[in-house]
Amino acid sequence: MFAVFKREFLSYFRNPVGWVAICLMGVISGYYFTGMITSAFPYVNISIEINYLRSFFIILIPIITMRLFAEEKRNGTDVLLYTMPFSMKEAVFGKFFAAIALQGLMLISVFSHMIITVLLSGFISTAAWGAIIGYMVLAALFISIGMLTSAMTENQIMSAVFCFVILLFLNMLSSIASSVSSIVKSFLKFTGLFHLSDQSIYSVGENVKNAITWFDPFDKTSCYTSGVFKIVPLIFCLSFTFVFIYITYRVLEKKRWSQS
Amino acid sequence: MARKTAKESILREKPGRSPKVKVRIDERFKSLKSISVVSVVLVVAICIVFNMIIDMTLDKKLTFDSTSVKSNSVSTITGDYLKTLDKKVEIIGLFDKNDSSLEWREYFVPLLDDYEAKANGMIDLKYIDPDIDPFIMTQLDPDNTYQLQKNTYVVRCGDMLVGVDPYSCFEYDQDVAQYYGVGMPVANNVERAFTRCIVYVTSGRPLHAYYLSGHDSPSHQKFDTLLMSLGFVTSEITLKGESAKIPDDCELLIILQPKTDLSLVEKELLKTYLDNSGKILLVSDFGDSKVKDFTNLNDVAQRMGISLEPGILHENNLDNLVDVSDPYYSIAKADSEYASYISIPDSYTVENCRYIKILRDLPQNVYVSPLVVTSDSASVDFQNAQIDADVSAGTYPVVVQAVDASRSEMSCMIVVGTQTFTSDAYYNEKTLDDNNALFMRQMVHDICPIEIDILVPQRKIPSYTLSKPLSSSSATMWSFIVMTVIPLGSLICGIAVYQRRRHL
Amino acid sequence: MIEISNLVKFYGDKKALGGVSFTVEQGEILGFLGPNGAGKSTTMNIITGYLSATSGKVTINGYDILEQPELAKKNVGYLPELPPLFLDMTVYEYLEYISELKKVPKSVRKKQISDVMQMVHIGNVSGRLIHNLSKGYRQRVGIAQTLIGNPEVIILDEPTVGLDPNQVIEMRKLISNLSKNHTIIFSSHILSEVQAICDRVIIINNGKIVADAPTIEMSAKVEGNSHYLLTLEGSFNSVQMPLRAVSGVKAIAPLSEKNGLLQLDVTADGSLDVRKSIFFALARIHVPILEFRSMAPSLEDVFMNITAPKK
Repeated sequence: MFAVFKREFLSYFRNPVGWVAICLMGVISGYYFTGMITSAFPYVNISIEINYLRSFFIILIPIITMRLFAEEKRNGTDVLLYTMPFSMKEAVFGKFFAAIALQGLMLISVFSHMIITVLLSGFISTAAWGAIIGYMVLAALFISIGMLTSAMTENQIMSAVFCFVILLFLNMLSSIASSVSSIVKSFLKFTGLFHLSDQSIYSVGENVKNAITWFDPFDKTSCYTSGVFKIVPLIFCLSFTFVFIYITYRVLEKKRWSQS
Repeated sequence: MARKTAKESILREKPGRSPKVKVRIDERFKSLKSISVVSVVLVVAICIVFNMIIDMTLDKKLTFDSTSVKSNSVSTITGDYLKTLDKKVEIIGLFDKNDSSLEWREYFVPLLDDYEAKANGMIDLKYIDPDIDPFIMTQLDPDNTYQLQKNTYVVRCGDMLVGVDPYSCFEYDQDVAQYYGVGMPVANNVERAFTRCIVYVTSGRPLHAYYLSGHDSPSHQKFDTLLMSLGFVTSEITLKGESAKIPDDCELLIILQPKTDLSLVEKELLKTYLDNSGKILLVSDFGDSKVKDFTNLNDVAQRMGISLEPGILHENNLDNLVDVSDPYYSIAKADSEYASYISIPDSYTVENCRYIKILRDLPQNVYVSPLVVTSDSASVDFQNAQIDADVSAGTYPVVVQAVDASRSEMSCMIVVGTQTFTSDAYYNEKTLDDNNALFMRQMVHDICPIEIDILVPQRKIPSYTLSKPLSSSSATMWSFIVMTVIPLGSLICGIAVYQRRRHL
Repeated sequence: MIEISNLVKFYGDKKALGGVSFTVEQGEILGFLGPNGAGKSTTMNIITGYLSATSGKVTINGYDILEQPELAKKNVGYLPELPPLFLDMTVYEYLEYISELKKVPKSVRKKQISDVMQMVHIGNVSGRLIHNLSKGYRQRVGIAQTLIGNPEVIILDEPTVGLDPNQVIEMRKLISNLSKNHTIIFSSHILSEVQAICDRVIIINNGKIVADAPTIEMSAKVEGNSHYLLTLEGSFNSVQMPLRAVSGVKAIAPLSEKNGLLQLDVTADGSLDVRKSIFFALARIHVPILEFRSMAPSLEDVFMNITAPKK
């Protein structure tokens, strides 16, 4: 596993991808940080910066995950993964951790902002560390999704596009939940199905909304910004990360027995 | 050596394989496929169920406060109180918990979660957005007594109900407020406010306000409603006869536009009441011009350093007039000093304002301050043309507050020189969302706080402002560093590595 | 060593392999011969576990490739037709990665890599980016990759395709060298290449094994007729009779005759070596031989020869 991790991680830096990702992160977070310190009452709140950075997963994650498997398939090097005496699980985990390590390294810009904040005698709340942990766990979940799309597609662009679409969907999950709930409510109201009272139609709608929002990882991990450190969202993200890693493994293993 | 995966062992132990090679292997592929599909489905299902269980059972227990000042957890004072809570209390947030435009959410939602967690099930916390559930408002407050608003909290226990406006739970930095027009909170009273409300609604002891009757006061249904929304129970009181007395639970005595003078008994009772930390709200506009002759009433007022004069305020600044032809119908402002420590609107409609004079020689320990004032170019018209020597163009108070600080609990008298803050006529036209009503809520709330024995200390809000001032040039310098070092550095490194490796 | 029984592979409806079975013994060099699209690569991909067979079974050293893939793969080094090279790595980095993948103990890793590089003569390019290497070097790096971890079986899929003649010769030498310590399966569509290196040849066509025999026997089978190209100083009429008299010669056809130089195509019985007799027959009539070339039969000829008797 370590071999794959090492190769994959270094490969980010043998290619432009790793550098570009760090640069992008530096620009995005730097822009926000700059906004804070140049405002009329200069302040720095790292938690909010982290929260802002969460909305850029949709761009950054496809960039760092698109090559993981798609590139190997294109170059024919995936043969190595199948014919070497090691389990595909090691390859999957190795690549996953390489992407995580890059994501961690991208946070270097945030850490530099923290150092500057200390130099400027600003205040770094302990909540910021909670926010960073929440950010990384969310990143892990999205990286596992990106890795899956990379394993399922033949080329990088397709992989990036699929990953982008999925992340976009997750980003919009709470608004999707509200619209589904209002559709359900108006459906029940106009068809008069089940003869529900307004009150119970409302509660059906709310339950539908809550059920969909339950899957929203952004919503689940939004608490860290405000200094609420919950373990359960971490378990949620990590367990689904594991699920996506497992599916990736199964997708790759499929080649060993599939008939086409 | 390679581990034997579960899949392999299942395969190896699978009994009854056909001896014919081709068939045997075909079956093997089928089983590989079904194992793969089934295992994926199973893993997903297990993960969802597992998370649901964890979410339902452990979520509250596994929640920690990672703020530096522990602003998401209740203090030990509240914590100890919540342990002893023996009545069911409902806390309802009238907004969408996930609405990120509500910046104050982060000070409320987690803290109230902690209330709920620490109260052994006695607190039921809900978030209901009235835009989505239109029934909630009428359910909570069928007669619209409390004037519940969206984006506020309601604390309820049995029949007792209080609304909590999130914005009133903070103290604001005035510098920032003046610069931006919005306040930057510097102190957090959220826990204080909610603990108070819980103590109040569970106590079953509402605040009592009494209207002094017997002086031809006008009707006051609207103002009653306003007071009820602040937790008051109102009733009329007659102070006549030997045995007359002001009840001990009287938090606020209201004298509304008296048309007759006080009796001697009343005068003495009110003075004693003021000596014993009483609170009086006196409304008297110029329509009752005889008040100057109400010597007993004026005696009571003068006890608090105020004199009711037979003059009417004349607004000379045309910009402040509601109707240019009527100098007695104008817009008054909040006194800037008063507005600096309480959050109230800036402008109020006033009409026929009585000239309220603040005495030069105040009784000992009495402090009088204007709360609402005219523009700086108002003057006073006297009907009988007896012009008082002190009266010249300037700023005149419309509402004044006088406090007597000689006791630990201060007595207080508010004199309102216009009826637009209390009358049914005004509120029938403008409703209780009007600025004047907002002022009255804040002001009454301020002078009659809910009395409880539990006082939660105020918390500092961690200030994220840089503690050393940052000059704009050094801010620019740091911005430049931030925007160049890491992004450019990584690009340069990338190009360098690429150039080096390209020719290897 | 390697046992392959009854491999069948369908790509959709297209049958790529129709029941291929053979075994390879330790130390053997097996040539896998067949035209393009015959099923060579498919077979090799299945043996190495990259693809699955529709049915059939592959065991390597007794381990089933599907059921105990890790143990089975441990004994195999595989170079597919497209060498699995990371173009963004240097040769050394690449081999280091491979040895990590193959779990070569750290203590011997360095030594093994330098041995392998020496063996395939890529020591001089160890620090260069694979992207910048020529086709021949890349192929050698690919072979180096198979040797890492010292597997008993090496499987090479068309290792000489796309190389220039010098590189082909080098590659053949290399494979011969490797055969001292390894069991080798290697595929090609060039008969002479297989003949030159292998102990045993399997010929596959349309997904079926059409011949499986030691190279010597195969030569006989293949060379039902052998062809020779001669360039003589003389006329066709003068040499025709003496050559026909040589026993084993079946036919003579003149290819060209000008400036006193004659080019002949002699067809002879493949089971006899007629070269000596031809030489002496021509020497007797004082016709000097300027060129005497033994023509390799084309793969098409081979299939014709092999399949013809069966009909």
